Amino acid sequence: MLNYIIRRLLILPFILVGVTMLVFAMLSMLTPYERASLYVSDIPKRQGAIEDIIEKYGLNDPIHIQYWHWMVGHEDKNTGEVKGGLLRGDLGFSTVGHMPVIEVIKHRLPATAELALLAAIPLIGLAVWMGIQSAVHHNKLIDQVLRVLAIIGWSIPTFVLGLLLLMFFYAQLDWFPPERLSTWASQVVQSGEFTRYTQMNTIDSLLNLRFDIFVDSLRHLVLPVITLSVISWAFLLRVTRSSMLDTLRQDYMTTARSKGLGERTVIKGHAVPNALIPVITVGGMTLIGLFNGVVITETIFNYPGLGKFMASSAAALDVVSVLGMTLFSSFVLVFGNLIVDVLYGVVDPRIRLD
Amino acid sequence: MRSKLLFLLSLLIATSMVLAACAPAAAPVAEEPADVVADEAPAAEEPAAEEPAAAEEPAPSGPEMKNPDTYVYVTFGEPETMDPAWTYETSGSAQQNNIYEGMVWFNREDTGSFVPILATDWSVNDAGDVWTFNIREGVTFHEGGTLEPHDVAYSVQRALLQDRIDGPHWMTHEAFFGLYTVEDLAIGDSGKEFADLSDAELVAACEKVQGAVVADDEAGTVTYNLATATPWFLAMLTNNFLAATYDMEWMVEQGAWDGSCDNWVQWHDPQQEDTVLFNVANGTGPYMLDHWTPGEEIALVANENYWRAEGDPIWEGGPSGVARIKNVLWKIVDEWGTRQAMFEAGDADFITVPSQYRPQLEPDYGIVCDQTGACEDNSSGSYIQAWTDLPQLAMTPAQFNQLIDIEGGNPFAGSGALDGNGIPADFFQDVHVRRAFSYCFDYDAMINDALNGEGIQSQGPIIAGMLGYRDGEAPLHSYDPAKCEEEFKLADTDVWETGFYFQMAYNTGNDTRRLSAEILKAGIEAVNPKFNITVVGMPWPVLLNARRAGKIPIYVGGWLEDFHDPHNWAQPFLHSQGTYGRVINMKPELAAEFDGLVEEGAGLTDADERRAVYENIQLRAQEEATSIWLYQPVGRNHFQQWIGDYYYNPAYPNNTYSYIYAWSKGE
Repeated sequence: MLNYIIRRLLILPFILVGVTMLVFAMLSMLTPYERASLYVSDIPKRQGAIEDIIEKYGLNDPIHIQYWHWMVGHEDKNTGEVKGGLLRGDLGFSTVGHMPVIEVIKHRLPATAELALLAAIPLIGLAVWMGIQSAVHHNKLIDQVLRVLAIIGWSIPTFVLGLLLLMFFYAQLDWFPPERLSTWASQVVQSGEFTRYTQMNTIDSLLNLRFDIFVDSLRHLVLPVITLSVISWAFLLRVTRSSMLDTLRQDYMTTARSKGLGERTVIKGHAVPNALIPVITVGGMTLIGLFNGVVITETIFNYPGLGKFMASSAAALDVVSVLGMTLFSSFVLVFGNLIVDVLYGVVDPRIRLD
Repeated sequence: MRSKLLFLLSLLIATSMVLAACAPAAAPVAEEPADVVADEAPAAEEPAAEEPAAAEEPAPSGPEMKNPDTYVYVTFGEPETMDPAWTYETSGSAQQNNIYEGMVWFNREDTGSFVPILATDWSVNDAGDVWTFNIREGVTFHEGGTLEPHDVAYSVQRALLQDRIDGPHWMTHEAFFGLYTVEDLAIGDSGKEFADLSDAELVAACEKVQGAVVADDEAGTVTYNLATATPWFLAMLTNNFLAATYDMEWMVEQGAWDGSCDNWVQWHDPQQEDTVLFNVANGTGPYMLDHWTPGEEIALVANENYWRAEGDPIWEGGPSGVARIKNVLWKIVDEWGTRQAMFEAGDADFITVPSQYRPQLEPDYGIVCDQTGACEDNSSGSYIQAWTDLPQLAMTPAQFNQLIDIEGGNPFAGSGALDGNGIPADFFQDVHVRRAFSYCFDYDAMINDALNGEGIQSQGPIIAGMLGYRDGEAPLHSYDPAKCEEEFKLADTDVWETGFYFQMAYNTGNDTRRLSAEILKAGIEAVNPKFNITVVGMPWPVLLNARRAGKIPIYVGGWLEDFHDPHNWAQPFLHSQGTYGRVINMKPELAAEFDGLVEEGAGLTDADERRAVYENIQLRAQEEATSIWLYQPVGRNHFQQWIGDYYYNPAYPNNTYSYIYAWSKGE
């Protein structure tokens, strides 16, 4: 197992370099003038101003030189200062985020992580349990109900569900507001009397012993968590159910029963571990997706996470931010996959990753 | 059977949820009465405002006021920077108008008169090119410094030297030097590139800037030496790109330009994030920047040490002392449905409402006010305070490129020849072709369908209500296919027989521009089947690059006023150095005529003489059909009823510019 992890980690830099090449190649499809135009909002007053930008940023240089500058940084001809450079941890300045891309990610990741973690509890716990129940009680009442609910959950577009929940539970009942905090709570959190330990409001409010803010932050998380959970829950439920049904039909299940094992033991001891392999794959990918930010949910609930940032950057043609987020997503995906692979071995010892 | 029943039951539950969500609210009764708005009477000649009903009226149904000390403004978009000298967009002006102050500000809703702010009074010489301001004493900055005349001069000099590639300082350089950039000022007649200038030449440019704005700390004055008579100078001084006043000593401590001419280039044309005021502020205004969390919110707090004393109102009956609303919160919410929900729940005091969504709010209009402040109480239980029919100081034309670049092929111009499959480079140099296009545009369809009726047809570059607008005169061109055909047949070429093809581009995401292009296409193609136009959407950088290269035959692009004067309309559209004028490539004789007219209007100080010149510009722009003068939009503002003392000044029409110091909440 350890060898496998080390091997995967050693391959990681090559994968990431490949990603950077791919991303940079896409950027290079724009002409130097088009890329320079990203930095101006209108035609400059002075003749030659666009050409100066092209010269300043070396946009006319051969592509491999530009790629090298992107990776290691670029010397400012006026000040001699080296700016940028992926290898220096500089993903560039985000005009949408109004700070360096890496800072935007640091700033917004806790919000996304808080949402993802809270959504994961009902998402994975309930979906797996319900999927198992659905399969075990195949074609019984509970199976029928869960199948209908899964179809409804899977069929409702996120933006429709989100807006309906918002209009009913917020605009009309005023129970569960959007954003991360109410105005009064936000003013407290921004003040000097509140310490931001993790940037996750639920945790920070508990650490500050501000239970009113804890409750307020939970109120703001209810609707996005439900929206996220319903959509992904339905999918995971169906995957679990299918996998369980498939496992329950295997010959070794009949063998286990014929040996006199109780039904509960057969299900828990033999069926569930075998059925969880595809569930781990799907659940893992879903969680990775959540950690990369969920564009529609975060946009509807004005939740300041990575998904909303990604959407705003794309809409504003903030290429630097989009590239930075693409790279970040690649990191998360590669590491997430590694964790999922390791989990295979934990769940099913027959799988030898070495 | 049972599974079907279950399915139907589930469907019923889901449908019930949907219908419940869409049903009218049974919202709690508001705590506030309906009589808190629009209590400011308009000017004497205006019809008196109808007093909104008070206690005897039923209280409006609607949300509860949740944050009595905080004005919550919910909108989309946010500033590029907090640096006023860098800012050239509307979002940043919102905060800056409340944080920073300059010499003068508008006298409430009056766009033509000004009240002193950091100046106590001012004078101008007979030639109209030297303005002297006496600087107020006892004014302190948020960070504790004391205002002195050299702070004012430093602020203007920094703005002029900082400049930037596509910023606002073409206006200030025009006023001070008759040029458009500090680089042009430095280059002068040297014939060099800016990068090749010697240190001495750079220092000389800086000294010219320092000579343009001179402070006398002893006398307590600041003198602005302009290039020529500048009748709009006070109007321009209300803009923070020129007006915002910084504490020089504090700025230098933060790492800003130190006032020396030896090194100013280091601070010239910076990236937005490279100025010291990118995300901090230190002004003298009634509000201070508390925090800016990008993508989330911008918070201001009342300046408890504000210099204006109680009982010393900014204008007659206006606010004085510390701001009544203690906190201001701009929340950035891109999604319309979320903004609407926040408004309905009472978490937003004001929301930005795109025109297509305005009808959704109309059933909840409780108090409806017009631009004069005259209000009508429609309450009957509705909670919105709506200000309607507000003329916007914006205008959108479709501009002809009279010399299209077809060198090396240009897909926008098709074949590049008048052969039925393209247009030649000089296609729009023929005035009859331009007029034909102007007659083939269905202006009513544009206003009614694309703008929901909220717009008026333009009659030239100068907007309604502005000096130079030809009051009582209809636009020269209206939708008239017969005249369109007639003009095409009068053209120098046989375009009517040959036909043409070209592409019209708009920036993707801008639906109003797309509709403008579609309406023109429909009108043109209906008049002759040999005429073909393709409408293409393009990302902004790609479109900007094509336009810069002169490849786009017709460009639909709007203009939002920088300062309230007809010069800010005539110059951008018609002067050969104007923002649009320099890319429409008018024939030299036509360009010379308009340059002369624009400069003549700018150089006059007598209002009647100016009016005559600008009315002539307005007429000539229509006769020559330099653009299809499309529309001037009309706007609305939507508040909760507990926001009081709002007034509408068309010079800062979108609430993004609001002077919140004058307002109250729940009083």
